[in-house]
Amino acid sequence: MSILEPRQFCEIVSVADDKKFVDFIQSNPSGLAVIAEPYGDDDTLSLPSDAGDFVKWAKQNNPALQIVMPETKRQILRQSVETWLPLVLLAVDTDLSDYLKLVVGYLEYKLKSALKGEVARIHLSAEYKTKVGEVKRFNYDGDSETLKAIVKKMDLNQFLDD
Amino acid sequence: MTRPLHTDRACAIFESLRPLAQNLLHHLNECNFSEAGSAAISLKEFLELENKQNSSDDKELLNDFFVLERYCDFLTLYVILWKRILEGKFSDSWNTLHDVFDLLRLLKRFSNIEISFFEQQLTDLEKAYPYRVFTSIGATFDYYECTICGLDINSPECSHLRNELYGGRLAGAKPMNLMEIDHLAIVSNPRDKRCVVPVYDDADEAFKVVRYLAELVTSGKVPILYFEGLAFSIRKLPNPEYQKLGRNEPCFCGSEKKFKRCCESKEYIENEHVDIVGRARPVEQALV
Repeated sequence: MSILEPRQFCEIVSVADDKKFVDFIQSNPSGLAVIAEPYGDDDTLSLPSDAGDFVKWAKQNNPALQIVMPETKRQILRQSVETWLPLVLLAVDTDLSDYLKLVVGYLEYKLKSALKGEVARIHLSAEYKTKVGEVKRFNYDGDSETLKAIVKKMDLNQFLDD
Repeated sequence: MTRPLHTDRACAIFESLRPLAQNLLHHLNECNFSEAGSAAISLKEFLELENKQNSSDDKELLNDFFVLERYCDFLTLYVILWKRILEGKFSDSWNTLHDVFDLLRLLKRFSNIEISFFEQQLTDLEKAYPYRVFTSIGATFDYYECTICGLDINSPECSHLRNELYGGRLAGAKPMNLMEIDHLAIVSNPRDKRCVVPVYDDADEAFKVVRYLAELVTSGKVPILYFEGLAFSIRKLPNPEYQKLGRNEPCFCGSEKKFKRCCESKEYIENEHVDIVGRARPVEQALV
């Protein structure tokens, strides 16, 4: 594999003492919150350029979904065809698989204009609280088809759990 | 049958454009670029007249007019693309090819106009070029300005979604107030494939596939609209350096190893091979 080939990974890691998440959960939220992260030499809080577009699309397609956006407007531009979504914190009423379904819907919307052979790639992270109260972070770098397969598997697992 | 556009009026205009488009493609297929260029101008003039006569502010119709204009732009650039290829202006033609792709993406997003022949042909044509890596920058901006309302496109005050059509206007996001350029990367999947590395001279051997295609078209062996795509394969060819020796003799390559431990198995070498795939067809079929 060439070093220029895009990497592909999916992981779920435990997050201990994440102040952002604790503050978020303590505010008894609903839906999800978008988090700006430090970027560049001066670590200024910034958002990936797809963040605003994704949030606007999500609100137009799911008017009931509550989404909190940060104050910062500073945007990161990457001259890559890939989609970079911001870190989001999921409230207790928002399931990770529901959030990923939303992301898949957004990618399908973006792919409407894709030409033959063009693949949508995405980078995303989401933090959430498990049923046993542990805070976890889901990180994904990969293509939309693999993400769809992950969502399908999650649904199946959930069905078996129920 | 799927309608090519959303409104009856635009569908009727599209049908009226079809003979003009066919005329353009006939001239192009004969490599008559002057006549094909004139046909492209006729297409634009016809559409401009229709547009002037339209007094409706129906947003769907205005969106359809936007699409029809892009369709005319596409056919015009398609002629320019092949002209540049046949003139041997391969570097320029790469940029034109990506201008054409941008138009095809818009047609695909906002209409059901049939473009599959062009999509297949041109995405394969892209593979005939030597470019595999590109430059890409990372930078931060203060905000993105909506090209329709002028507000921050990511703010709740702006109601427009990027790359959507609103009454015939495409909402774009213009980066405002560059804060910092933080990296320049070499990537295989850039937003803009016009940012190539390295830059080749038109006479470079790297353009051999596209040059060969140009020769086939110019000689009349493969008219432009007969060219369907490329088929890549690996072929085994006799190794011209190969010498059959006794297994324990020193290898012919000068490695000072025994032949059996060195090049005995290299009687054939694997070569990348490209077939240019063509099919005779009526020109009209490219449009349906």
